[in-house]
Parts: sequence; structure tokens; C-alpha cells
Amino acid sequence: MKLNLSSGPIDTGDIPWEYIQGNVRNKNTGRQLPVRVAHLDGNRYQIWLSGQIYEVELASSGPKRAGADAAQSNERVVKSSMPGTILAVKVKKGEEVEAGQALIIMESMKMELTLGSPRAGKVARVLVHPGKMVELGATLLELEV
Amino acid sequence: MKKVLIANRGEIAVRVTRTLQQMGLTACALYSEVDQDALHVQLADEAYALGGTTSLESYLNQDKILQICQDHQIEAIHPGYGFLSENAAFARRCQQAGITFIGPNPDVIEAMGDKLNAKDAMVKAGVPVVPSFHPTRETSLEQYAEEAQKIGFPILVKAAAGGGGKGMRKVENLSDLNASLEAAQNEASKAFGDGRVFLEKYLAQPRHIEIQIFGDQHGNVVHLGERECSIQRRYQKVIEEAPSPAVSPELRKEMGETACKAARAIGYSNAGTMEFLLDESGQFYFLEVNTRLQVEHPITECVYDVDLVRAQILVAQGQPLPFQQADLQPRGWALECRLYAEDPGNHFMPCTGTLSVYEPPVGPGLRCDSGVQQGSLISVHYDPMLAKLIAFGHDREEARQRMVWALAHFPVLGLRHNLPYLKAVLEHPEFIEGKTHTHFLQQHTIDTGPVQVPKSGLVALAHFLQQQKPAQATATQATTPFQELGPWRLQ
Repeated sequence: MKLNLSSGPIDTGDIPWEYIQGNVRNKNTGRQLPVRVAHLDGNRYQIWLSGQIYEVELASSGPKRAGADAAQSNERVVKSSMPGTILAVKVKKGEEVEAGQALIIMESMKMELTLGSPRAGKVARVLVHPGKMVELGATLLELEV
Repeated sequence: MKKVLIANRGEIAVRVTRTLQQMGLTACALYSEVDQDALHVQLADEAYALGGTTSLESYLNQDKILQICQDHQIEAIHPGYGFLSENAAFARRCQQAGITFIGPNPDVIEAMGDKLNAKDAMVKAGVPVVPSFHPTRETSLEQYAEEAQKIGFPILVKAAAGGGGKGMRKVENLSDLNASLEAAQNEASKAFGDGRVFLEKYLAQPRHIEIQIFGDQHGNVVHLGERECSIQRRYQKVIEEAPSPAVSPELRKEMGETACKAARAIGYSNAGTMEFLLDESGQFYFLEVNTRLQVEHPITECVYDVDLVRAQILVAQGQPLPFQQADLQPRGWALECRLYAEDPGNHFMPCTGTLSVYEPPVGPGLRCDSGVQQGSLISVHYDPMLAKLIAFGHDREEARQRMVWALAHFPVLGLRHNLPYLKAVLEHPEFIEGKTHTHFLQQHTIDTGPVQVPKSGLVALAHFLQQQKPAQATATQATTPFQELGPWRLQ
């Protein structure tokens, strides 16, 4: 089978191992290793192989914008680094902020986390309010370009 | 006592259920809306809905819990740990309603719940405490500064009503004191509804050593040795062991007798834990009393061959302690690892999702206390601890080897978690040598191994994706009537 990984395509037919009921078996030596696979999120999968966990990403079928997104999020957008609840928003739209200044405080399970500004700038939009539940990676606040 | 309600969820509810059933008692579970399919509900003999999703709406809802007891002739409540386990007001309400609260009496819970109070009581009982300063409402910032300098930096600012590291700040020097006081007070008042804080000397590389105590209603108090819980991250315990590599039989006796003396002085009954810091010179300082069963109680159960939950129930029924001090000799070694749904690669952020693979290992000297099973949904609403893996053996190295093996034979997938991290800690040379202290995880780099998947793993991934495809295809087919005709149309 052709696997389209984000790191490049690979044909599993060329690999001297086969899958047999919860194990992979080496076609030459007969050695078996226990293996499990699960979907993690988006295009990402987890592979548990003989006690180690690996993450593998499939190439996305849509147009490539991952690079653009990453650059943008580093500079301009504050995203939640965990799923949870917004406790406080420390700044308002239009406010000038410094790099590292506390913008948003959120909580998940037992943890409290302060999200700081990625750089100095002006707050363009605040997309959340205290009490709002957010997913991992949700955009919480944007700075002006 | 015939019917016991477990006012908790997760692994501890499951663990208490098992002992209740073994004793021939009826185990009653509670569940919030999100927990209706949870493991603890499936295993209980009876289960009652609390409604709600947040802790406050569900497992902390005292009125609802007491009403359920009344409606279903429940005679006792086991509170587990967390939630209402150290809530004196709740214990008192149980008492008034004629329900046995399985734990110490409300006055003891109240007195020990306030860290300042607890410390004063310990000083009176002759227990050594860490040098500290307890302010009053009138204490000025200048006085704080003066007292902090007297104790000597670095110091800790701690919440009087605290726990779990909330409202706690390490202060390196005088210029950071005011900001840290303010931050700790804010956090404490939000978390506990009580913004009082105090100052305490910060010890450089202490071990966290705690003594398991047990009292009955007839004035008997025994100790079941120590547990070392030095492997912590942000004051949350991650790996525990019993006994401690740093505690000699003589020190165990001294700490144990000190703990018992203090427990007698405050009239302690049922299970409890006295936490101490042990410095490199062998001096120990009292930290706090936990008036409940601890998360890490199984390692004590292993080395002392006792069931602490069973003992809790017997004592709550008014029976004398089922063991005497002379019978309590530690045997072998036990380790516990806490499996958390937290991502070590992303600042230990909590992770949510479905546990699509979850296969706890079995083998010599292993025990796994799980609150989840394969298919469980892990939500943001509760503590991210999924399970505790316990390994025991003849000595520390045997227990450690068993734990390493167990962690390598425990597939957990569907979300990120700390299992690879736990294994790396257990394989760290300093851990192997028993050189543990409370700053271990801050000071050592924990390497979780290779990230590049071997090609054999990709073969399994290919198989997995192929298995998924037909299912997806069937799902789409069902949406159009032409496709519903299936292969006939194609022919």
C-alpha cells in the first residue's frame, strides 16, 4: 500500500514486515513485535510498537498552507495550548501590549495557564470571554499586523 | 452497614467498589452527565445520577448526594480522595443525617485542613516543622519582608487553605516578594475562597517522605511506615515508592512514632497521612496532614500486605484496628506510577480524546488501578489522572525492573499521555541509584526516546488505514439511494 506521509510517500510493500493480528512479523526472520495503531487528531496517527509510541502524519490532501499558518500564528495569533475554560481576559481591543505581557488566563482540569503576547503590538480582536470553553488550538486573540 | 455510597469517580471509585464487594457490601456509585458510561458506574452494584458536568454541579453537590442517601437507604459514604474527602462541613452533615462518613471525625478534618492550624497543633505535639512565618490580617508588606529575610531566601509563599500546589510560589529574592504575595493570594482566594498565605523556608534538595497513620475510635493509633513521593512536577506527585531508599529502620521508627504521637494528640481516627520533608542531613520537618486515603496508598498495601480501604470500613463501623504495630513489618519494595493524560512534549498540557487503545499489563508483581477502559472518553472536566500502575518486588531493583517492563507492555493510544516519560524517569541513572529529591524532574533532562517510526510500524499503519476505509465507504454509501442498491447496480 502507498502511504502518503507528510515527510514523503512510502510503499509499505517494499518493507519486509507484514501485519498479523496485533503484531508485525518479519518476513525473513519470523520475529514478531506487538503493535497498535490509533487516530490522534487531524491527519495524525499514533503507532505503539514494542513499548514505544510514535506519531505519524499523513500528507494533507488539500492545498499546502501549513507553513503559512505556522508563521502567522507565531506572529499575530494567540491560540489555546490546551482545551479548557477561559478564566480572564486581561486586555481589550485596541490596547497596546508588550511582548510577554499576560493576555489571557485559562484553566483546564487542575491547571491554570497564563498566555502571554507573542510580540509587542496592538490587540486587533478578542475572540473569547471569561467562562467560555475552548478546544486545543482555538484562536483566542489576534494582534494587528 | 450494608450499603455504601462512593462519593467520587475515576480509579479511586473503582478501587473502593472492589473492596466493598469483596466484603459483601453493596457498592453504590454516583455519576455526572459526562460520566454515565464511566467504568466506576459499570462496576458498581447500584448507580445514581447527580446530573451536571462540572465538579461543583456533580461530585461536590452535597445536597444531592445526601438526598440520594436518604432515598436509597444508604448508610455510609466513602469519599475517596479529592472532592468532598476533606470537607469538614460535609462530614458534619453526614453525621447529622445519621450517615457514617468513612474518615476522621469532622473536627479533626477541620483542624488539619487549615495548614496554619495544623502546624500549630504539630508544634504543640513536639513535631519538628519547617521554619515559617504566619501573618495576621494586619501584617504589613514591610513585616513580610522582614520576616522573609529572617527565614532566609529562597522562601515559599503558600496558601493557608491550599493543596496541589495552588497558591504556592517560590521567591528567590526580596525584590520578587510583593508580586509573589499578590499572585499567591489571588490564586488562593480563587481556588479555596480563602486568600490567606504564609511564608516558609525553601529546602534545597529535600525528599518528600510521608507516614501512613491509622487510628480507630478506641484510641489506638499505628503507623504503616513511609512512602517517598519525591518525583513531583509542579507539586503534583508522579512516581512514589515504599519504603524510601533514604529511610533506615531507625529513622522509620522515629518518624513513625512522631506521627503516631501527633495523631493521638489530635484524636485521629481512620486513615491519614503525615507529610514530611527530609533534608540531606536526615532531619525531618512536618508539612501537612492529609485526612483521607492518599492516591498512592497501594504501595503501602503492597509492602505491609493490608487492604487500607477494608481497614477504613471496619474502623468506621466502630471495630478496633485490624492490625497492631508489632505485626506491621514492611516486606519488599513497591513503586507507583501515575498515568496522566498530559503531553510531556507540550508543557504537560492536559489532553482530551477517546482512549481507543488501552490494555493494562498483567504479570508477576503488578497491579493496575484504572478509572478508565478502552473506549473511554477523556474530557476536560476532571483530573487528568487515568490510572496508577503499581509494581512490587523483593527489593527496589526488582520492583523497578517490573515497572519498566510493565510500562513497555502497556499500549495506551488515542491521546497523548505521560507513559513514555514515566518509563524514562524509571530508567534514569540517578533514579536507579535512589538519588531522588523533590527537584529531580526540574534538574534532570528526561529523554523519552526515538521519534522516528521504524518501517515495520508503517506496515501496521497501512493495515489500520485499510481497515478504516470500508467502514467510511459504507457510511457514505448509505447516504444515496443508488448506492444503497449496492453491488447489484454495478452488475
